[in-house]
Amino acid sequence: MKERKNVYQLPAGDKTLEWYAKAVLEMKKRPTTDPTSWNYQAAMHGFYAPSPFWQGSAPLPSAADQARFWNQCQHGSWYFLPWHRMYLAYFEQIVGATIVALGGPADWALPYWNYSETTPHARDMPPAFVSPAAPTNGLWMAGRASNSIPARYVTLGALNTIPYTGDGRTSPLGFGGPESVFSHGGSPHGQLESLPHDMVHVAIGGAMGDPRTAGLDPIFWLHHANIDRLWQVWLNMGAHRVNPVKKAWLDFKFEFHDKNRPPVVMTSKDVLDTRTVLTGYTYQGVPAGAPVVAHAMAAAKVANVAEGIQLNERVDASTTLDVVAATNKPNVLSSAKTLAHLDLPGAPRTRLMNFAAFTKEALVPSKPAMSILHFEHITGKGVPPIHDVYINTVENDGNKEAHYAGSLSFFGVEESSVANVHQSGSGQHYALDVTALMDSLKSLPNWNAQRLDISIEPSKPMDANTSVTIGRISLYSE
Amino acid sequence: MSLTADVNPFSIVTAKLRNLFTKYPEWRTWGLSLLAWAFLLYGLFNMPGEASHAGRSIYCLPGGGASLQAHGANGAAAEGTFAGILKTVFDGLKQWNIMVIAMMFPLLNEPIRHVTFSVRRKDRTRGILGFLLGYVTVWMAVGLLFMLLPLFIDMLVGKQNQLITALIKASGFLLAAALTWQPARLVKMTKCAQTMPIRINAPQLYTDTIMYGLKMGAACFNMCWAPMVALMLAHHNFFLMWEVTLVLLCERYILPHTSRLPGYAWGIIAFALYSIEMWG
Repeated sequence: MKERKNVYQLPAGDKTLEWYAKAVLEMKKRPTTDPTSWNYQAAMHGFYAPSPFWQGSAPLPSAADQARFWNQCQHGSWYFLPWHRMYLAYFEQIVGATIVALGGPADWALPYWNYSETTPHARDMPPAFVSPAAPTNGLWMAGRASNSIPARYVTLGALNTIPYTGDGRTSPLGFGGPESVFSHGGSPHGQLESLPHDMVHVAIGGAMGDPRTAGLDPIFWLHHANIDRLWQVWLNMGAHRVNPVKKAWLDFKFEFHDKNRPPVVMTSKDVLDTRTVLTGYTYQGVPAGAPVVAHAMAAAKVANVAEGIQLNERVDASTTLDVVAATNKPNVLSSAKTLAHLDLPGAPRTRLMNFAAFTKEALVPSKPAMSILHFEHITGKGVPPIHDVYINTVENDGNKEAHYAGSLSFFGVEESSVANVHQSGSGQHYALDVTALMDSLKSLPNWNAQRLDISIEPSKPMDANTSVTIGRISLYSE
Repeated sequence: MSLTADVNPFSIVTAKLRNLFTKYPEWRTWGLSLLAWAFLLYGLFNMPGEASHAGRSIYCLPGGGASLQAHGANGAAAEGTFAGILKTVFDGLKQWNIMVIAMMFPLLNEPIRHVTFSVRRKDRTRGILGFLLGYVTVWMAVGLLFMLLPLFIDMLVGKQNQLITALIKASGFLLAAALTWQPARLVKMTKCAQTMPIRINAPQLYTDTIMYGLKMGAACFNMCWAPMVALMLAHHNFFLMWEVTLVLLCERYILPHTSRLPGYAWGIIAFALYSIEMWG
């Protein structure tokens, strides 16, 4: 069984990256019509002919093949994690076969880039991907905006999210994304997808900054191996962290190509345990083995019995929130900070004021009501910079970070803005869990129970050819 | 909501049901659809020629021009008068709307969820009503046009022989089948799941939900007009409506969005209609 290793812990003299670079160059020689070519593999995630990154990719497969196999990446969906696991598995198989054909080892495995480590340089792109900066280096990619990712954009708060599924409106936010049908984008991104996944994409920028070109950058695959690893890490943390058990999630079929090129079908059920995905793999330092479906169902049931309906609701992600405030007009972002105001209906409700008031639970202080800040119907052009969101900041108070609510990556915003065969064109949707922040803000002397000030600030100036409009900002609460 | 495990089982069931109804607000449109189907079914068995669709409205009838004259109150009063025509149009629209509610409302899960969870809990019913008002308005306008379709065909082909009648009945579904292979169809399909920002305070709450309903009505018509025209041309009856609804539901909720199976289904229906007309 293969072991996917930490790219920064490869032993001296290890040739994993060297063989990867050779395979990339070899795959780039193949025509785009070949399912094992570099271009075809990248296009399965996303393809956009007018992009300069896709120049020279013709001739292309038939329109029918493109509709069937290309632009299939799942975003803003509970399929985000399983689809990318399948995608990586077949890609790794194709790269592995290419390496063998080139005379390399038979046990090549895709390494992962753990940018969330606290070790020095962990957030820097592995040197082999940066230098030499020439097309002869299979791992180098022209046009990247940055080779290093700010610490804020690789935090792992997502691992603390318990339910796998959730959208922050009909349920708490979910680790893996909202329940959906085939979703190329549009729904709220899951917690892991939002951070660090989306952030790393946009922070690196260039081809990586857009789902329609991201697969062309060789670092994409190490990034996604890390996201795939974090799924296993999350499962291993236990405490009711379980995969969905609904048939719609387990049995939904996705099509790929294997190393021999014919179409193959996979479902989420096929990738629950990394040890049984194709020839199987594990991650360095991460015990393998996701709970089987029956185990997951039993775990959820035990949780329900042991901790009552309240926990049951969280595990089943069935808590419904209510919108308490929303903006009345769209907000157009610019290189300056954008201010938006939410008129609150009064003091936010807490559990004490709800049904629990009539139970003995009401006699003890309850935790704050869940508050989710939504950014809906986000449309735009290009690859805008990451924007940081602050609530109720006061000029020059010297403690701005205490007001930090989260960041918006806008990964794939241009594609989400136009209807196509895979999505409705209603724009993107991000949600930030601001429960703890709201709770702390309420203790500040300048807290205004009638109004919330949202400040959206770009991490760097916006290019002239980029734009972002947020259709609605809203606050949902229990 | 917070309940403890020692609450009695009835309360737990009630809470779970409440959760279900809250989480799946489309129960309202499905409920309305069921009522519409019940009305049609009732008409089928109890009011032949009255509430049952076949033989009822002018747009369902071959020789619609003739039936326009005879479609006043009790089939006799106000014959040929403006009031009689108005009554006929009103009755036709009523039937048309019942058909739209029965067939189209179950296809609205996503927009209904969007409206429901975009507005305050206390405004959910109002929001949904605003949306449905906009949605039905589009279909009502279309219904007026569709009422003229049989008249137009009647004028065009005159007295129909069996072959022409069979071809007309089958042609709509053949058209629907052909359109399944139209490349733009997939985009039309995804547009049926479009959403838009909805403001939560009146009066914008109402204008936005109505506007969204109009938009979705237009998107839905753009996607589903061919089977609906086919129903008109085939002098639709209860069972044909039911079959079309089943295909539309499968297309929307069960099949992959790139599936061509609905096209084959329309083709089979077209062949069946042709065969029945020709060979009984």
